[in-house]
Amino acid sequence: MPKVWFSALFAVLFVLGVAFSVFQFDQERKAYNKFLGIGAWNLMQVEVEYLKFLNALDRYQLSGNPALKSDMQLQFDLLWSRLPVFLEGSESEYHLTLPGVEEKLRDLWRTLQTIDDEVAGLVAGDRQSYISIRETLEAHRIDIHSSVQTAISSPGSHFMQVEIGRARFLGYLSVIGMVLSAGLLISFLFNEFKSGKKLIKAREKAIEQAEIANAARADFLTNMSHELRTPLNAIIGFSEILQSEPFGPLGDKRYQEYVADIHESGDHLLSLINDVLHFSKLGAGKTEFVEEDFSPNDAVESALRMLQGTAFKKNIKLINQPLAGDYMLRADMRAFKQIVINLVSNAIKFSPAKTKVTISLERDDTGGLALSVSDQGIGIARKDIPKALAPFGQIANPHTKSHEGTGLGLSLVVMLIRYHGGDLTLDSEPDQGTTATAVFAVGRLMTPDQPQDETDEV
Amino acid sequence: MKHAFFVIISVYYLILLNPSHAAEQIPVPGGPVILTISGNIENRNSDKGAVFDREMLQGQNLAGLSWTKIHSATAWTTGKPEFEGVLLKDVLSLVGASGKQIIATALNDYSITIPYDHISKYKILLAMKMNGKAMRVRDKGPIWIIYPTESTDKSKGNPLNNLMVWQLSRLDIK
Repeated sequence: MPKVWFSALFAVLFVLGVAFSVFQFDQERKAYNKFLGIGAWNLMQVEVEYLKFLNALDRYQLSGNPALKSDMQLQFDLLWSRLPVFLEGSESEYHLTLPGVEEKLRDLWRTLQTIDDEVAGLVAGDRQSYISIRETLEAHRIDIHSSVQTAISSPGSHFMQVEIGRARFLGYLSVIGMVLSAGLLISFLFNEFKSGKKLIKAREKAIEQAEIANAARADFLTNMSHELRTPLNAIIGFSEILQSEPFGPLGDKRYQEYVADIHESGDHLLSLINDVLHFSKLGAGKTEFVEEDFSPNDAVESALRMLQGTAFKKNIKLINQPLAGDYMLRADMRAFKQIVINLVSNAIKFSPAKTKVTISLERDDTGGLALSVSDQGIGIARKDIPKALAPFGQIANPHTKSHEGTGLGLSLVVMLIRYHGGDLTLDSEPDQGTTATAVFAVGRLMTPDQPQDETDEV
Repeated sequence: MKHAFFVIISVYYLILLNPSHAAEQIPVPGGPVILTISGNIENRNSDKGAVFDREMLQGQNLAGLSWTKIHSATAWTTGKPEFEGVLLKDVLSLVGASGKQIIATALNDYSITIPYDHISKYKILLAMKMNGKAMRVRDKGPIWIIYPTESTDKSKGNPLNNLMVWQLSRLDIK
């Protein structure tokens, strides 16, 4: 059952409980009024008939008129008829619970039975019998009156207690039901709230664990890279020494070629390991950046110098278009140079021979510094651009085999530029070349001294 | 001619069969009067209205009255005693009563108003015997208005209880 239905169910139960208890308390009030009426009414009738009979008895005796005897007898019968009301039938229950009333009525009932014959046989003027009847009945006057008073003055006790008790019991029951359903509703909502909190906690814990796992992976990569670099330095160093043949010739020319291969492979492996090391350091937040002011033009120039050899080997022309004006950039210079190197070496890697790679620095629309590297290479399909930017992401294409690498180059650039509050965008079409643009935010570019416009060919 | 004769005969029987229009003479009671019906009635046998003694109300003594037995519970008796008497409806037909209210008054002058349509709604009995014994004044007689009821649980507030007048002596039709 959906949770909302539980809430609705409890709410309906609660409303029903309220309605039922209001109904019950109304019933109780009615019962109270009704039984007050019945109890007092029947006892008052006894008193009325009692007084009426005494009156009729007196009139018959005093007038001496035999015609009044039937009236007296009728009054006696009427008084008589009031008494069984207290002794049988459902109404009698109400009176019998009044304190002392039953006994008083039974006494009167016995008296009536005793004087029945005397009353029937009474002759007007028979003073002795009259006084006997009168005195016998007179003894009950206080009892009858006090019974009426009991019924009136103690309405809250006894004869209505049974009925009122029942109504009250149901009333309390409904209040209990009401409280229970409200309690259920509250505890249900509380549990919902708590399980919601639990979910949030579990999510936080999962994120924490993922972060720990990430850090562990980065640590592993860092350590591994260090361990790999140590023997690699030996391979590169000794193959270099072998190439220069300081202790005599290697002999066969093929040995020369093998040594050159070993050296080249070692260099390549080292650059891969460096990438991995650098990337994992960045990911683990272990890299410390040093912010300083420097000339971006100079930094690009110095970076390009390192790439000249590679470009020359592939017969690729590097064209540098520096920034007009003596702007200073506030950034980590090593990171900036790394960005230039990664973007340009990437461009060289994916460019065919006899093409150009253009490196330009300029202010973009927002006034920030845009570093663009354009090649005339194989290009990337638009849908593959996010993949190219992802760590270890390389686009499958016919040239892939000839462009080996970790696939970390662009990811490193993205991480570095993002550290500086900027971003990297790729603009490319297959076989139309690629332009990668890294933008440094406007606040990082310092005031120029004088405008300058020149194009350098490196 | 034959047709006209048929119509006359039919009208004659219609008049004869309709009790309220039967110009029946209610006999004058020989014994003590136990019931007086006054107010809006057509047939009278006294200057007080229509008066009855015990003999007149018993059984088939008057045309239109039939002796009826019912079992009914009341708030003043145990179980469901057998009551015997005549139907209030028949008695009112006999006196040619019509109106909206029946004011029933007891010997002790207790009185209550019964809606007139109750006589067709309920089988109201003017009971004179309970469990085979004629009711005296001491036994809530001589006449007790009895509504046929199954139960008299007071807590359910049976409104008919108040209408069951005992020691009935007068009916006033308004």
